[in-house]
Amino acid sequence: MNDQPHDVAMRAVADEIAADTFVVDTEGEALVRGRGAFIADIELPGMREVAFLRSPIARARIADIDVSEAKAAPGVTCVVTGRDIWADCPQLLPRAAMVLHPSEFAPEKYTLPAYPLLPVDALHFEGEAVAMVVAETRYLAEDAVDLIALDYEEQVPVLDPEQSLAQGCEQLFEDVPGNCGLDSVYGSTDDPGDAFTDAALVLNRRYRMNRSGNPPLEPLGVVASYDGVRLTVWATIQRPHMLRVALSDILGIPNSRVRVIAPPNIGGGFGWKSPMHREIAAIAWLATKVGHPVRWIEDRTEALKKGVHERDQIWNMEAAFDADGRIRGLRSEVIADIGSLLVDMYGLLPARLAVTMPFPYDIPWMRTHLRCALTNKAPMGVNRPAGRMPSIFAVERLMDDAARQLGITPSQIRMRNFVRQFPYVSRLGGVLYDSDYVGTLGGLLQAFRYDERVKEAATLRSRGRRVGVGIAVAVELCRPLCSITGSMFYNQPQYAAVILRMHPDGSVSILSGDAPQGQARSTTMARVVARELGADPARIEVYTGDTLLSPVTNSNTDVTTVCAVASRGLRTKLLKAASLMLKVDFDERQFSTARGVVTYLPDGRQLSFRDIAWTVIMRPFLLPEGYTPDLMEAAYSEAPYSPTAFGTHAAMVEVDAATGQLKILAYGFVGDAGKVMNPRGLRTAVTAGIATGISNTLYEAYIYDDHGQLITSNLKDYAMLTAPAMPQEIMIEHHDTPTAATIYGQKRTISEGVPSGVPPAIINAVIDAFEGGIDITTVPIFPADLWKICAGEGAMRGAAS
Amino acid sequence: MIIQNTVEAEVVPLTLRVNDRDYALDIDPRYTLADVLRDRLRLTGLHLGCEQGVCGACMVNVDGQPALSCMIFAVEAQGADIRTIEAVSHDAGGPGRLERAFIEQGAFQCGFCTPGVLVMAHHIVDRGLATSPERVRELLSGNVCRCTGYESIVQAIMSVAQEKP
Repeated sequence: MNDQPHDVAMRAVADEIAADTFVVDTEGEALVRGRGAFIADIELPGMREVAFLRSPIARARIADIDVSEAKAAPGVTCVVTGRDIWADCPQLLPRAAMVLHPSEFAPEKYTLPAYPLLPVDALHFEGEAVAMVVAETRYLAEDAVDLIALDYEEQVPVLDPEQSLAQGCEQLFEDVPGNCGLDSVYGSTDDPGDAFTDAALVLNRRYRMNRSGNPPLEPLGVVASYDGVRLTVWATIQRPHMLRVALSDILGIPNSRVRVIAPPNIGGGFGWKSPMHREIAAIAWLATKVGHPVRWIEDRTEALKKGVHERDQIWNMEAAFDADGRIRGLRSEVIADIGSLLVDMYGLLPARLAVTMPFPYDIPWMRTHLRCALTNKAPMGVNRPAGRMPSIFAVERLMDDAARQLGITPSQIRMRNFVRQFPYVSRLGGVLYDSDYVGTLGGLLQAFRYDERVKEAATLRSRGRRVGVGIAVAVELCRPLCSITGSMFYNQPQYAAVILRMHPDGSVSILSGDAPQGQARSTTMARVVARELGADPARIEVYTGDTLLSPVTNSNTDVTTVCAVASRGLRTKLLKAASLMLKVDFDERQFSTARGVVTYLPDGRQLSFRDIAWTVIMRPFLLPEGYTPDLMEAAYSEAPYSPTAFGTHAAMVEVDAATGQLKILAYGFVGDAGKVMNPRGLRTAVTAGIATGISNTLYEAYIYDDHGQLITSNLKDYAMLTAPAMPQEIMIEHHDTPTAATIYGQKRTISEGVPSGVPPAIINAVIDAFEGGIDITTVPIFPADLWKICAGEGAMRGAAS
Repeated sequence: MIIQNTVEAEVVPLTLRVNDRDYALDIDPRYTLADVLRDRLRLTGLHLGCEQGVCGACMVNVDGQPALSCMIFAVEAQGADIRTIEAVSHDAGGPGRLERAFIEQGAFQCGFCTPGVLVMAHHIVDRGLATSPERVRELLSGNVCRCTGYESIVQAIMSVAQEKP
């Protein structure tokens, strides 16, 4: 670990930034006043609204699309089908710029179906975009959508991933043999030796996490405007720079003429808004054709039917243990249901992340075989916490199942298997860094009063109540922060980039291509610059998400580190000018900067940032000849490795066996986030992660009927957790191990991964409530399922004895 | 490809009282209150998260009660006293007590649900309904938030409810 004086000093600066309340939370004030600037708030002169006709069927051949009646409808500007677009722009998605590339870091072969901007001859899932109407208002556009006559030949959909991969299953796409998007083996290449044959216990288990996700409350939206030369696209996009490159590529317009802007406020992203959904490309194309700015604001049913969806993996595991609970070997056969028309690289990412993400355990032999099955459902894509939820559910259920069979406790089996030396190279290839798993779980057991609660639960059970306690742990690696590791996630650049621009009056603009979706990153950036540059917080303005203003970057990058690096560079430029103005030798150590004032320490003389900037930019003739009037600083930063975070979870639950209702009496979380930069924000984000985890365990689910119709297509049926369902008591603490990979030791990945540990913690607690007398291997689980399982209680115990 | 069909919309005259001002509008009677407030009056503080009457992001106060503006036709709101987030969220020029508490407690992240949550929060505090955190959670059951897990919202409301006025 790093305890050099430099790092200690950095963490002291981090503490100052964390405690800093002098930077006004301008983002926050606008939002509580109803003055947020979201995509649907954008209105341009002459703007037209777009509505999509969507496929009413899971699988069909398009026979004919008759738009004549729709074209004659009031207020309609145009009606566009896939054939219209194909005639003008015969481009296929997903697109190279946003799609995965094989490389030495991610060598496995994948096969994704290619598809046009809008369908030309085939429909692949219910809710797929078919045609679009442009009209004066959304109401009129929707009216005209109803007048489009779609004639199709229905085909039998394939909805089960195992059936899709089975021999003889009908091929769903011409370009994807065997309906398999990815078939790859990860991990140990050597023979397992006696790992399984000499084991005290070999467990064969099948765990499944069905479709759910974390759809943001604000659906997608796009506004596009074209002046004949330049295309401007406002979009709910987490990666504006990647979108610009992709749109430019599709439409054949140079990068220099395409500007993508993510609005200052995006109503949640959670990965849903990372990829280029085909609708965004279709709307951008439309803007170049209709002579009006166009706007499409997705509605909730469209969002739920179109996706992206998440989770949906089956884990068949064979695990070998010693008698003391040490794991000897783990073999996993994984099938991921990736749906149909994958939305750029994010289609395979969840499944790939799930199988390559290291577990926190030292597993001497491990091999995972992943197969991604295409089905006639909405496409898979990343959604917080990005793929790993099913794998963590599987391994954390497995550890509890093994502990129960071996007669040891859930914490014992985890403690005995934890990785203790870092860095640790997992058999799957990933590397674990800068962590203390034993200490973090120890912290949880203490914070949660685990032993007391276990006894309390036993006492309550002896009185006939179904109360149990469960734990689960999870490694988190949500943002790679470094491109080499990032390449394992399919070659996306992961560096952070920013431009700081000081103006003649000494005020500063922060120009970032990051597109915050509620993480208060604008405030974070302002705080870092205020501290590191010594600028007056009231004179710092943050601009995010505009590709014209900012250097290329990915999303959710380490804006903290890059803003600190840029601030230091700009500070040096400023102090060089100050030295000239004060006629002293340049030596940074002789200066202090705070609140927009430079002080020359030897004699206390002061210059304001305005004094310096005005001289440099507006009066360069006062400085020596040849002086460059430059107070702009671009910085790029990349972590030397990808820090890994860690979360530990504990749940105490009560089941009403008569109704199947489950109540979470208490929930505990202790995480390792590295250096915490924003304690309040982190607490909110962690609590939200717990809420999402509970929601994905007990409430939210994409459920298809036998015809491939999504039956949870509104927010009543696709039930997002509400306040009364939160645990009655929540404990959140930290056991932080700073990382050397970032400037202040922050890992900045903890909160995004929180949901992944929640389902196993809850289900392990439910099983404990029945003292192992029931088995649960599938989530989400609803009261009716739980009621049925409760009714069959004892079957498990009977089978075991 | 381009056609420019004209619209002969059937419109009805409507008077809306919003945030203490009267507006005379001609509107298509099928327009929801949410759409009229957002698109015609440009009161974009309320948001549309579902248009299915579930998420609460479009909540406004109608005649002293929180109401889902996506579920009400604008013509139904004639004669009612409508108050939106733009009117309830401040006192004497700055953000109000609840709004400050939301910022201080970290009671939002993306802010999309926040205007609806705040309309409900004002109702809870104004009517003295914040008798316990459990009660506040119950009262918030019509507001979906994906970024907070609700705890900080409950704390913000409780902190203001327990303040001396």
